[in-house]
Amino acid sequence: MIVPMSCRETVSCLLDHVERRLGSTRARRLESHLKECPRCREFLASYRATPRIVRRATAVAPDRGVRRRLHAAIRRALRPSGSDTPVGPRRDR
Amino acid sequence: MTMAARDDDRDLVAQAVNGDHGAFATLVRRHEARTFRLIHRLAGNRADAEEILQDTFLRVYRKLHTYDRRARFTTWLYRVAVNTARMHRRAAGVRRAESLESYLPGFTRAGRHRRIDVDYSAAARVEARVSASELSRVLLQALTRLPERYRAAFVLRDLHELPSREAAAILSIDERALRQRVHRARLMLRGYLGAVAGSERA
Repeated sequence: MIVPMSCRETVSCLLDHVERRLGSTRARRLESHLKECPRCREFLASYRATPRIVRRATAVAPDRGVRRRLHAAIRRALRPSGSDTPVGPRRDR
Repeated sequence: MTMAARDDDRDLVAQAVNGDHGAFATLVRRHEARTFRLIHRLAGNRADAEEILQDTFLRVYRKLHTYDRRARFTTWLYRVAVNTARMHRRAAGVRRAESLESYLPGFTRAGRHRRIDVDYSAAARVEARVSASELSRVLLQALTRLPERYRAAFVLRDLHELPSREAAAILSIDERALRQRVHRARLMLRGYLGAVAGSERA
């Protein structure tokens, strides 16, 4: 006889569930709750989709200006001019 | 990243430590796009991301001699990036936007979903309801509203798709804690997506 999980417990196990890391007893208790609970099935669908949606929406590539200014800043730091103290990786360690 | 590329990173670091500027430039070019994406997601906007990106690579250069070859170069690089982003945030005295914690799911005392009048799956269809540019704007903003320790964990593991072990190593925490933070962040963002989709409200 399997005691189904509550919604709260189900939600707390979702990461382990979607990555199949739950032990067999807990996995069965969770499955048994999902069968009976449309709310948790809906919740699972959006929980699963969340990383992909956020990943797609927030992937911003550096434009050419960003890259150019980055390399210029590095060159300035690597080849200090005049009286500036040279900056470089120390090797005294 | 392949084994060969990883070895290559280590060789480039060794050459850069010996004063080979070209080797360092190659190392930067190899990692700048991914590092920028990471930093942009932590910082939330392009201008801050650019500044943090420069600081990160300059710090990396100055500290190259401390890099431990046993670790992946990217583990070390991303740790510097995360810490630099954190320092910028503190230095800028970024006012706390309202935290996303209010989007965590609520339960009754019996442990059932408190709200039964909403479609919890609507969050999964938010892309059909909101334009891509609007979604990009609100989600970059939303990431900055995650409590800091959740944000870095979620960004590294769920957005950059690093293995839990590596994300945990970057943040110097154990894998269990990492997974717990990722889970909490996902719950908050899921609820937030539901609100953006117009179906759930905090």
